[in-house]
Parts: sequence; structure tokens; C-alpha cells
Amino acid sequence: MKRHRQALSAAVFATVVALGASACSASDDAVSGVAAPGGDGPAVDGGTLKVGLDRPFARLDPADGTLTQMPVMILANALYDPLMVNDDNGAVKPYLAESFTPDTDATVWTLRLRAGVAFSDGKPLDARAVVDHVTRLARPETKCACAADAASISGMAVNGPTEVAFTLKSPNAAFPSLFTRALGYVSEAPVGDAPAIGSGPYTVESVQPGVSVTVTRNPAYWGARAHADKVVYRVLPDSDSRYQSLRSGDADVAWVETPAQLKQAPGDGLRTATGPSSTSTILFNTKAAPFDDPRVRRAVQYAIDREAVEKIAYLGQGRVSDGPIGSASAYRAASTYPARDVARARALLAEAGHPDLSFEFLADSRPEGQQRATVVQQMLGEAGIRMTIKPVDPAGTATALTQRQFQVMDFVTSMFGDTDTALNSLFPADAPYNFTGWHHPAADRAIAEGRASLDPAKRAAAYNEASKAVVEDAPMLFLTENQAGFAASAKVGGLPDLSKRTVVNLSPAVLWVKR
Amino acid sequence: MTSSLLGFAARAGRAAAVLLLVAVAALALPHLMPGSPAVAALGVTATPEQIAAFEAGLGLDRNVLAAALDWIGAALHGDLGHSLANGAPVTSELADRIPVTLELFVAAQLVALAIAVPVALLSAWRPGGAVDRIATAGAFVWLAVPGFVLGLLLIWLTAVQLRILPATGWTPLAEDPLENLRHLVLPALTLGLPEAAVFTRVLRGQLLETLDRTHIAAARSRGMGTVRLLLRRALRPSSLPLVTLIGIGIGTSLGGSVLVETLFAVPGVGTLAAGAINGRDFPVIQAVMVVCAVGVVLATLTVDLLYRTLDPRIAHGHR
Repeated sequence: MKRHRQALSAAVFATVVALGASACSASDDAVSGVAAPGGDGPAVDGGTLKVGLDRPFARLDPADGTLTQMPVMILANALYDPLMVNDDNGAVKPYLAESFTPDTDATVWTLRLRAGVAFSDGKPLDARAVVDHVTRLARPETKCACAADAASISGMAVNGPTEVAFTLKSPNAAFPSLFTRALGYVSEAPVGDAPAIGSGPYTVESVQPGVSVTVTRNPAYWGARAHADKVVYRVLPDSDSRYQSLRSGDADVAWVETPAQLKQAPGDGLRTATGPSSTSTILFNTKAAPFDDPRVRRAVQYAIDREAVEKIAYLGQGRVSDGPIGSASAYRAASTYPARDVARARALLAEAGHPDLSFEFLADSRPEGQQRATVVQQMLGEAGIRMTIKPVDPAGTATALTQRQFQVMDFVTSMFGDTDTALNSLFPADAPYNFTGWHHPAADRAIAEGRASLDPAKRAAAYNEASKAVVEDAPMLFLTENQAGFAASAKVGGLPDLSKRTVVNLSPAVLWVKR
Repeated sequence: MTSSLLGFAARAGRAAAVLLLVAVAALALPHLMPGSPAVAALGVTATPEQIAAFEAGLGLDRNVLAAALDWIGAALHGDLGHSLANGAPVTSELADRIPVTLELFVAAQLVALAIAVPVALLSAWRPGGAVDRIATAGAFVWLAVPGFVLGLLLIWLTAVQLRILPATGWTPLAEDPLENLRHLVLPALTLGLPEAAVFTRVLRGQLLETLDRTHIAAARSRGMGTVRLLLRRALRPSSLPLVTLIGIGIGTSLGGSVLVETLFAVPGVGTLAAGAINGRDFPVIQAVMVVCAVGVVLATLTVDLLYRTLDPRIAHGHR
């Protein structure tokens, strides 16, 4: 507990200082992670880096949802610079911004940009460009998932070549965290089928949508020169063949999230840079019986052994999750999550009038999802609960979530990498991602209080109060925090330490290929 | 002659009816599949108004038959719609992908035939002999091994251990023929080896039947050599079922190519279909379905015509 409090204080202090501090240098490790230990020897410039992507991208535009997902941010970071970055322990730091500072009630935020930054076509990346970018992504026709975030802005004013003032509809002390991905990857609008233009360390040489893209070093880049001359990204959707491509040398770096592969990688001569990238949870539809009764939800909570789920489904590669505030979050306090207690589960079910509870569980159709569901099913069976597993694919998952067409549902998300966004997006009654339909006025008040408070200690206290309510009322159950990240062959240098990153990504500019 | 033309016209009519049914089924897909294409494309934060506008744009608010007829009309003019994912014309996406899948299909058939024909000939010449027994056991093993397991085994052996072939990826033929061939080998083997097992079993059975016929006995009695007898007298009449299998294989290979292309990251119709299904990109799914159906129908018609060439008795109704 003491350790958590110390980490909390230090990290929150770091966050606040960072928001107002002078910007980091271009060689800063904010995007790339903590610099690699010296074991790689001196950096080598030149050559081609081959990166395996785990999913196809549709458009090279920050507005495209795929490009700003963690596994594909290694491509986004080549073409675009984010205004802000998620640093260790969830701290948000300026990158392309020099500072991002609030007024006294966190309703007006002033962004100061680095001077002298240009897009790869030579046009200046100035305050006007930032406003144009945010305006473009906010338009419905751009189809950016970030439009909901942009909708919290009521006005933008250009106060000079490098200064923008954002006026918000309501106070938001964590507003800068909205600029770590799509809204922060400042770009010029794409013309026709051409990719959007950014200011990143590389520019697009050729692209075959959904298949591959080759980027070459941006000669006019404002920051530190990228090491590799070229980066070739290829979509390798099958996790097994992607891993074997690393072993065979057909890929130098690739995203890996399969627990067995992460465990096996060192023995195969591969190095890994991973962090707590996602959280496995279970959602209840709290708007329909029997899960509108908190006692029934608590019964399921008591029936699950999170340690066992972690050991069986994740082979000891992750850790148990204790609630909506992740283990690496600066707001982290002591866990209030209950341990497994089958007798208590049975008692709660009897009290709620559901001694023979049975329900349908929508589970991710991939092998890991099915394994996770099977483990939970067996545990619930020991508490007399009958759970039927129904596999769903990703598109089916999205529909079930948004239209609340489920009783209980498997939900693995990276949202808890950013505590502010997760709490504000998932739990308040009017939140855009309140999939469970949960309504808890006290939690809503605590989240709103935390969101509006510029005092880190007050915000942490409010968020922990909300977290405690989430755990106790159990609209969502928390199972495990899962490791994922990048595996690289031995010939790749510069692989950073991402173990404290809650948003696991890196820039290809910091990697080099040994000769 | 007139009866031949009438027969061909009847077949063409049946083919057109099949294609119409496939088109209607493809257009009905968005109504039948779980998962909203609007939510998949617009994200979970899409407003009800955005979803309604999107679904209207996709024609989901229209009668399926009317939409299918409109779609076919546009398709006949080369317009298969636009991808929901990237807005690109589906026609151009397919034009990029079809040659890759066709190349893979042809290579897989060549692999299958190169193995099946000699093995079946040797097996049929000495039924129950060592070659026949090994081939029979081997065929059952190949048939039992799922494609993805075979593919991963081949990757592990040739790319990871021996490092003689690339594990994944693709180089277009026009860009570098040698690299294209290197990238083609593993997916073609993965698709072709199980087919070789089927081809071997079918051809062996047909050869045994042919070798029992009187014209073979007559040829033997005239002193015709074994190799000549097998290749000249037995193989051709026994190969008709292979032609059928290759024709049917166009359809089944497209199913298999989804898996094999995904495994080896080959940018063909299979990976396009897999990505479109995951993203509920209905214009692409519909176009892939119909184009595949056209491929199967054309292959069936071609097989019909080939039968007549390979065995004139069929054309004259003697068989």
C-alpha cells in the first residue's frame, strides 16, 4: 500500500510538471519508450527495417481507427508526431507540443507548439494546422472514433503561430490525454486516395492498402534522424506465421500478444518489449434481469478465481486486475477487489432468488477468448452457475456492445491504459461507452469531480472512490492485465523498455538493424 | 450440331440462374449476418442518425431483390461498388487480387498433378505393392492434416530451420519472377499436397478400372510396353474425373485460399475476403461471393466442354 502511495505521488507530480514543462527534445524517449540498455552497442544508421503488422489498415490517416490502435501505432508514429504522449505509469507528456496548460477550472486549455516544425511537404505545422486537423477529425463524414472526444470542445482560437486555446463544454483536467492518438497526430487532410501528410520521421514511398506500406526517411524531419533508411510494413494477420516470420528473418519486429509466444520468445532468440497493454473484463447488462440485481453480479464476481484465470489463460505472463485503475496507473491505490469465495457466491444467489442461475456468455471467437471463457465456465460451475458460451467475431462484438444485446460478455480492452479516459468513457450514465447501462449516481459524481479537479491528490481520491464503487457494485468484473508488445529478432538494436507503459507503442525511428 | 447448341444454351441459362441466386443471396447477407456494418464501419460512438444514413447508403433499407437487380446492372458495367473500409472501388481491389489467387490456384494444381499422376500410375500398375501401400497410407495422412498445420510445419521446416524459403509475404510476378516463385512455393504446397492425395486416390481407382478393360488386354497381348501402355492407353480415359476435380477445386480452393493466404500473408482474394468479413465490408464480401460464383460456373462449363474433347463418346451420347 505504501509502495502504491509513493508511486501515485511521484507519478502524479511528474504528470503535472510535464504538462507545463518545456518540451522534451526530439531524441526524447517519450514516444519510443525508455532507451535500450547499452547492450546493443552503437546505433547503426541505414538499411531496411521489416515490421510485421497484426491487422490490415484501411487508410493512412489518423482518422482511421486501425492506425491508432496500439499494435499499429508503430506505423502511425513513422508518419505523424503526436502532440502528447503516454509516458511511463500513464503520465501524459508533451511531444510535438511544448506545453498544454489549463486555466484555473480546467475549462480553457492553452496548447503551445514547438516552433519551426513542418509537415513533410514543407508546409508549416502551426496553430492553424492544429485547428484544421481537429476540425477535420470532428466532422461526421471523416468517420473518426475520436469525434466523440472532439465534441467536448466548444471552441478553438488561434492566439499566434504556435498557440491554440481550446474552450471545453465542461471542465476536464485530463484534456491533454485526448491528444495522444488520433486528435494528436496532426495531419494535413488527404487528397483523394493519397495518404494524409504528417510531420513524422518517415514519409510514404509506396502503399498497397491492407497489404503493405514502405516508408522512407523524411529528409526534412525536425527531430532526431531516424536510424533505418526505410521501413517496410507488411500485414501478417496470422499470429503463428507472424511469429515464425520473426524467427526466419522475414520480419525484424512484430506485435506479439499470444501468451505462449511471449513465454517462448527468449528461447527462440527473440527479444521482447512488452507492457500491460490490455485488461480482460466481463460486462453485465445491468438493464435486464437477472443482472440488474447487484447481488447476482457479485455472486459471479465471488465465483471467479482471477489468479487461476491468469495462470491458465495467460500462462503467468500477466497479472490479476484489481479494478478500473490499472496497476501502472499514477492513481493506483490499495485493492478492494474480493477474493474468490464460492460459499458467498451461493449465498448471494439464494438471497437474490436465483439459486440455479444460468446465462449466455458472449466470448471472443479467437482461441484465447474461448480458453478464457472455458476457465470461467468451469469456475462458475463449481458455484452452481450454468454458463453457456456463445462465440462472437469482432464485428458481432461491436453490435452486441452498442445495442446491449447481451447478458454477460467477454470484453478485452486497452482503455484502462488511460485511467481518466477509461473512467469517464465507460462508467457515467451518459458515457459514450457505458455498455453495461450501469447507473450509480455516487460514482458519476466522483468521476465528474475527479475529471474537473486540477489537484492531483483530489483527482486520485475521487477516482479511487469511483473505482471502489465499480468493484463493489460490479457492473464489470476485472480478471487480468495482459502483457503484449513487440518481439524483435537479435539483429534489431534500440528496442526500448516498455514495461511501465500503459499504452504500449514505439517509434520505428529509434530502432536500427545491426549489420 | 443444333442439339449441341441447344445443350450449351441450356447450360448457360442454368449458369445465369445460379449467378442470379448467388447475387440475391450476397445482397441479402447484411440482413442475415450478426453485427451491424454501420457500427463496424463508423465505430461504437456512431449516432443513430449516422447509422441510419450509412445503412441507407448501403441499400439496407431497400427490397433485397430490387437491390440485387440494381447491383447486377451496375456490375455488368464494371461497377461493384466501393469498399466501406477505404472507399476504394471494389473492382480495382479485385483486379489487384484475382491474379494472385489464380497464380496460387494454378501452382497448387500443378503441385497436385505432379505428385498424383506418377504415384497413381505406379500404384495402379502394381496394386497392393510397396508403392501402392505407401501411397495409400500417405494419402490418408495428408488428408487428415489440416491446412494450417501443414502450412506451419512447412514454414518451420523450410523457413525457420533450413532458411531456404520465405515464411510469409509476396512478390508480384511482374516485379521479380524468381522472388515470386520463392514466395509461391509454400502456399502452393500447402494447398496442393492435400489435393494431391485426393487426386492420387481418384486416379488410381480409375486407372485400375481402365487397366481391366479389354482394349488394354489387347494392347498388352500385342506386346505394347508398360510405360507406353500406361501413358498412351490408360491415362487419358482415366483422367476425366481429374478434370472434374480440378473444376470443382476452383470453388473449394477459394475456401482454402482464405486460410492459406492469411497464413502466408498472400495478398489474394482470400485475404481480401477475410478482412472484409471481419470488418463487415459488405460491398467487398458481395463482390467476392459473386466473382467466386462466376469462377465456379465458368469452370463447370469449361469442364463440360473439355469432357467432350477428351471423350467424344459423351458428345455423341454413347456413354
